[in-house]
Amino acid sequence: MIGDPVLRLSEVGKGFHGTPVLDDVSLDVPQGQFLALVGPSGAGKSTLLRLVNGMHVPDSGTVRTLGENPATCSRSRLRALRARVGFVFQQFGLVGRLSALENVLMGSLATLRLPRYGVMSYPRALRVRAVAHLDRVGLADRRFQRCDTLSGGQQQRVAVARTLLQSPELILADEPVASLDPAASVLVLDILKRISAEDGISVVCSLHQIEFALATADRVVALRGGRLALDEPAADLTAERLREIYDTAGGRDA
Amino acid sequence: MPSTTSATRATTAADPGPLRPPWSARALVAAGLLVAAVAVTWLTFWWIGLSPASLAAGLDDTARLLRRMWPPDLSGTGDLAWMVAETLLIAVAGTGLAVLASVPLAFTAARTHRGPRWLRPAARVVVVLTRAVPTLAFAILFVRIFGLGPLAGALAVAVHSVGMIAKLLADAVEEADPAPAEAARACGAGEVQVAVSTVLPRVFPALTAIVLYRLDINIRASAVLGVVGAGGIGVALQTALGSLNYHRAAGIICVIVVLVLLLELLSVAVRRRTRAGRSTGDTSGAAALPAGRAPHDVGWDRGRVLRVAGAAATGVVFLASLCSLDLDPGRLSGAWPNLRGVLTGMWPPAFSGDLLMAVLESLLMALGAAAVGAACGLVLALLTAVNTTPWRPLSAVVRVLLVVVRGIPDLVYALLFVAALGLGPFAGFLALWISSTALAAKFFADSLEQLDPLPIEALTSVGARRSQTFAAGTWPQFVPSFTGNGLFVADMALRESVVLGIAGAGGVGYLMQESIATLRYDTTAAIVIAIAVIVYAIETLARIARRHLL
Repeated sequence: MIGDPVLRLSEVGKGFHGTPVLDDVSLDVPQGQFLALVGPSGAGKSTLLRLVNGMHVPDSGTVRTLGENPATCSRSRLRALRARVGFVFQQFGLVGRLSALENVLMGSLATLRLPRYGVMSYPRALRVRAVAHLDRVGLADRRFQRCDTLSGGQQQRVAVARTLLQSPELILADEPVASLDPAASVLVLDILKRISAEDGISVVCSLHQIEFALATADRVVALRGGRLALDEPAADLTAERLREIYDTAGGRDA
Repeated sequence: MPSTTSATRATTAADPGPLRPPWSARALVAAGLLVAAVAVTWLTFWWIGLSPASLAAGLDDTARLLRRMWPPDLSGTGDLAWMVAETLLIAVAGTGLAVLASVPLAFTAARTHRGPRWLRPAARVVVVLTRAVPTLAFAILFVRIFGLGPLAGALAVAVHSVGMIAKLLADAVEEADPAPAEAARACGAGEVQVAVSTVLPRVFPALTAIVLYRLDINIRASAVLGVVGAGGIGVALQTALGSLNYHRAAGIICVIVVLVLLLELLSVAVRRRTRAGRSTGDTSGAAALPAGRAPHDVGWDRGRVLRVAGAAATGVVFLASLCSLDLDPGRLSGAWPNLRGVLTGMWPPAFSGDLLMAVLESLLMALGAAAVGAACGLVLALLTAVNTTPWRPLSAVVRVLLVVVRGIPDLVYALLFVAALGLGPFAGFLALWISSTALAAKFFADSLEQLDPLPIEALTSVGARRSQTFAAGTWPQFVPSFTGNGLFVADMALRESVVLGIAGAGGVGYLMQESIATLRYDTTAAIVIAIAVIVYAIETLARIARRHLL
């Protein structure tokens, strides 16, 4: 399984309005790896994830995602690249007034030409696949329920199903469980972990709960003040060692 | 909702379960509204004989009129300034009188009312009726009763405003926390004392906001009251157009536009100030009692000086505006028999076929113009809203243009189109179309900017195109406010459409003016009843539709 890395960051730097957020970050993610990105808020985790799918552009260094450079490729190529990269948001990014099924179906938009509105505007084959993905996250029976009537954990599972419909080769998850209660968090992370293991999809998941990172990830990368502070297999780490990163960061950043 | 059978059935790979969503009331209501809008538009076009050719000819005639109006005649600055002042005084006097009447009315109409049982429904009837009948309709009636001049205008403004102020204030009263009122009652306070000491202070900020908003509307309304002889700058506009002095008419329209634009700037500034003032007000309220002041002495800090000075200035301006209305006793006593004549003449209301056709014409003009205006407004809103505009500078240009277009009262458009195209509903339709477009564009742009950006970001991350992101992410979120605001625009157009006939632009307005001029008050009463019923029906329909679409 050691081929080209799915994702390669080389000496990447990024700032907003003159404030540096990421500084000289280099990182390779091989295929099938579940990587937990940890660090205090403001450490640059979200920014790093958004550099990977071209929602932000780096000030220096290069990002190569699935062999493409999202900062320099054309608009249509960027769309094609984004279709291959799943993104799971902290606040789900669902359209609350629409059904779970329609939200999942939106994951297929990059493969379709025309705008779509309404479940029936999507081809039947896609609807069958969307239901199958909803089933995989345990929500097939909620397919026609409005998303804003689902619980937070259910909404995040719908968002994961939407990502699955993209048939992604890489999944980015930005604090996917920060808005969820502990039981729902475990469920969502289990689903992500299972997808990564069963389908061989790399997952880069930012988390701020150390316990979740240790329990779920193959590898833990810690960011502190925009720099890499730690990069080790999860098996070699203890909660105490990781917590030191937070404590020292709190002292230095404040 | 989740049944175990559907769950187990869905898990089998061969049968995915249902793939077609069940029909919902929401989808039916949305489809029904769309069909209704298209049908009404088509009916309106047929009624007024609108075709591409007639539209082109109409625009041609309008362009010719505008060329004849150039350059605007702005001579007699003193006269113009006095007319502007009179317009403002009418609005201030009318709004002030309306506030005085609507505070007790609001407390009576609120669900928290504790007086005699029959009082609340009676108050609600007053609220609904005064809101349904447009200012100009009252103005025509009051000119008959009180004679030409600003007194009729101010009273018309006042009576129509009472409904809206009382309704919004009653909502605020109902929302106020009931605990302080309970406490005051427990101390043995009477109901009026309870209202004054516990509820009034809580609704005061809401009242201020409502009054400023209404004053804004009333100044715009006062600018055209003169068309029916009720004072203000509209008198000069009517004279200029009547004597075919188009340069002068253009000059007066320019003055109205500038007045409305200044007002817009002022109200933006005031709104910004009150919003900022609220946060600082909290901290100053928490300040400890200064040393050396007697415990019973409230003292004069800067905030209190400003408040008292502001209240005094408001009172003085209001009294001055009342004095400007020529309230001499002879005139008021002369009004009494007139009023009796009008009221007794109104019974029984005389409905007729012509009248109902005219009402139908108003209805069609309004709904057709609102439907077309909503469609055009949507396009303009997408160009204006910061999160949908294709190009920022375009957004700024459209925004300024919309403020100017909205600044000109509907009746002015109607007068212009009648001058250009002749009498009839075509002129009225065009006037309502322009104002509906501008109003819809503003509402739509505002609500587009408040949409949740997260689904849009998610769709971008999925690799969707702009058009796909709009259809799947922006539009579904926008549907409720699109419908709600669209229905509100229709409501506004309807209220305007019944008075455009005063300018000869079709609909029931002409009949109304004529019936008053020929002392056929029974016809007037029938028209007022018909208008009130239709406005109320549309409002109810809009409320039901809004509830189902949320």
